[in-house]
Amino acid sequence: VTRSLPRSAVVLLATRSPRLLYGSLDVLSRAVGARAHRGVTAERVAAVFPALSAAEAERAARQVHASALKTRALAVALGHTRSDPPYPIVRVDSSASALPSPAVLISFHVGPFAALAHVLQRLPGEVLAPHYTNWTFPPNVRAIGGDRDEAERAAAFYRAVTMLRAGAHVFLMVETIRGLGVEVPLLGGSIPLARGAFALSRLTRVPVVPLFARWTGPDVTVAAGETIAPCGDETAQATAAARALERHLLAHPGEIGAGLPTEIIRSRSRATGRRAAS
Amino acid sequence: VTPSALWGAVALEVRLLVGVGFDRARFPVVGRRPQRASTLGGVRDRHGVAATVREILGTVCPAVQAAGVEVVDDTRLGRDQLGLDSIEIAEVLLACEEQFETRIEALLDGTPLTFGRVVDHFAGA
Repeated sequence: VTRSLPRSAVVLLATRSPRLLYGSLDVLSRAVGARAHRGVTAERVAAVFPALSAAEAERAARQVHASALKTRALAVALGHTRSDPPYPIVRVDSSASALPSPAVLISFHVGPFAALAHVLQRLPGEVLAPHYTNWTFPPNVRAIGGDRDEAERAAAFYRAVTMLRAGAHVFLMVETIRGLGVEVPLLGGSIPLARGAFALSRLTRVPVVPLFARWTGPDVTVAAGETIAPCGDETAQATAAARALERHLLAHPGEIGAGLPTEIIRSRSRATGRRAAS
Repeated sequence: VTPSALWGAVALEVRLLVGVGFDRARFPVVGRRPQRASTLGGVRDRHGVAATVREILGTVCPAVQAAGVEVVDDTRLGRDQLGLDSIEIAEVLLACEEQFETRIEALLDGTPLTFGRVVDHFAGA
């Protein structure tokens, strides 16, 4: 739907009437029924969340589809506007209403994570956000690239250290590709998390706060996971971050998206294979 | 030279030698000072700086020291040569920044980081 709609129409609706846009997409995805989103069927959801009943897994699979549709529309709107970023209506949960300062804020590619910038713009002072998208950010969010080579990434890391030492916030997405980062357990499988956020915490002795955005109908709710205190152990902090993600997904399985179930199921198969081989 | 100035100089030297006031877990070279990089008019002794940067490299990335990699001026710090990832590079530069009290922004202009460039930067060349 978001592909066939003209981008300008998505941007216009997202700017003028976000509830109309995201509400319509919500209704549309329900009308279409339980069509699987990129292979996320009720069976796959049930495989990741074995405690769910068949009806709950079916509902979660539909939510994955609806959430993906709305998140895609949000990405289109943020990627094709030059003025103020058109966020949906964002409700901030009490857990995220008073974030520690300074802090390393982290999130995962689940749910409408782009809407987290709405929370970042309420923070006092500047927020550094290394990113690799074409999204428009609020004025106080300094978005920097940094994916060309080690020197460029090192420069981004150094800037993040400097800003945290000055009392500001840094926002990072923490998933990475397999083979890099720290492998941490999640829902019976495992995912790789990049070291950056946890290394920043170790060097600056600043806490890590996981943030999660989820769709609540046409609106977005942002909540914070438990604050992860600074310590010298990056793996322990990464494991705590994955635990926070697990708690979020167990409470809202419809936000898991398309990529994570595949990643988790594959990691479980690899672990089974390794056990069999040994 | 007044007695208080003399005592201040002695106290500073003792502090540098034993590492009091420095985070020794992060910068263990402070306090041991195997080769001091002497300063003359803002320009430090390049050999001394190189030795200190080598020691910091070995501390932040023990694997580099363990592998016995020969580090020369043209050696790039990144994965393609010395094998450091971006966080390790930043940690080495932050430790050097603290050790030499010299900011490192100019080193992070996008030009490939070599051992020689780092040493020249802190030597003030």
